[in-house]
Amino acid sequence: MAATTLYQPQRGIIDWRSYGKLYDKTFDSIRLKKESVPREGAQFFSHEDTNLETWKVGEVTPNLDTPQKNNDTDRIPLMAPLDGYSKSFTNVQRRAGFIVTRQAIEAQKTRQITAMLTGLPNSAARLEEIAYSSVFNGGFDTVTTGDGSYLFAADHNYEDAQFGAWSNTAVAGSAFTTDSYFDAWLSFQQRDGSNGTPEPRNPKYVYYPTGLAEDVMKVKGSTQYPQNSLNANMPELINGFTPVIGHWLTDADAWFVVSESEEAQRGLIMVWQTRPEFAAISDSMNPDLVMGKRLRMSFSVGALHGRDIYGNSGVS
Amino acid sequence: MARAAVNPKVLSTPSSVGLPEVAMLAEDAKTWKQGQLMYLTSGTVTPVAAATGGSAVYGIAAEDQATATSTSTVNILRLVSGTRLEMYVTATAADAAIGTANLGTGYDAYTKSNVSYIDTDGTTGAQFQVVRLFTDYQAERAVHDGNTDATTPGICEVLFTEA
Repeated sequence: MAATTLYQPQRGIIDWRSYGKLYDKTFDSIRLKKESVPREGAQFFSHEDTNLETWKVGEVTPNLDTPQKNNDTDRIPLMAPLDGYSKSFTNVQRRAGFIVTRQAIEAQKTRQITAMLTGLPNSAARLEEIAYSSVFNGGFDTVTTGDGSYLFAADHNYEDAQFGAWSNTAVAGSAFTTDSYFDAWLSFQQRDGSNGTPEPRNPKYVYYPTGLAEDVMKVKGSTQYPQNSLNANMPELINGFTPVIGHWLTDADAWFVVSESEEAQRGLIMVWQTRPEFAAISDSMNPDLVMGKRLRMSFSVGALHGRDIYGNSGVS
Repeated sequence: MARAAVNPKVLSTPSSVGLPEVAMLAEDAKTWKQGQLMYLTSGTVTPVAAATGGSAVYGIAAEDQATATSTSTVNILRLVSGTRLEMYVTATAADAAIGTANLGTGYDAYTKSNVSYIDTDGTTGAQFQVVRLFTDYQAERAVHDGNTDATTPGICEVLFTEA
């Protein structure tokens, strides 16, 4: 049997008729549906607060060239740090709000009004999570890092151009297995610094969409190779990660690995100009506007570099 | 994520407490759902349909008219100039995309299956002027939902002007 479509009034105001429809249908009780916000993305990002609308961050590398053979009679060869990449973040302001009229209060819609009070902060939290996940969701073809390449790409340039390019993605997408995770582990271990010398990372988090949960748990939960008929023991490096399920990830196949780097070193950045803040809405010319709340937030999100992250586009 | 059109959402109104609600006489032999756009004909209100009334919109139905009755009074949210709405886009009967080329242009309304759209094939009354695209004012949401300006039906913010 087909479901019934609701045609919402969608008037952007809680007045005495909004929600009044429920009472018109003579309910004896009204249940508030559970609407919570899974908070997941913030842990992967470095959080910066600024009072600037456009915030620019640059990188500097202390990685100097290796010392040369040089005798006392020769002049000392001088070295300077390499220029790093930079990225500008342009903050965008968002606002939303709701108002309640006197007639709504008089009609005792208090339970609905209470629901709105939690709804507005949750609305902000959802946008925040969508913003975090957009960096992962668009990492293969939309979001770029300071070097101009996509966040997950095989053509990231070293700061010293003579060393060519480095990769933080799989050449071809693959399912999450011990093999493909080892490729990710290897990618982290084989990361180089700005001038091509080893700068290894250790993977810490595997961030994956819900559909890959079984695959990830097979690897995470096993002490032996799931695919190996000889039941070979699996080394700690394979299942030593922390699984993080990503409910906001929109690609059902792509999965990601994040290193154990400190927050300040992470290339994923959330720039806050205004964290979600609320103010009362009032109108001195209209006493029937009893109360209202305005939400305002201003932020931008993006990636300066992808050295501490790995992306595999998966297979469908 | 598949996108299905819904009736106009009121984003903001010139008044701080929303749109004025007025009781009007309903046209005989018509039914509609709350949220549909309505227009006036001979002193009665009636829903904007596929081919009629789209260029002289008066308000939004505040409640369902489930039974076609004459001489009944129904509540209408009267749309006033300066109201901003979020609306879905159709080109006559077919869902349509919206893009930067549509910005600044005024269009008429069109209703199908109890949902009112702006009609990019209709510019007679031009009461609904496209002022912003969904991908601009909800950029992250568009990415999350897997939609672009080319997704049909398109979504945009429109500025309403009274006829």
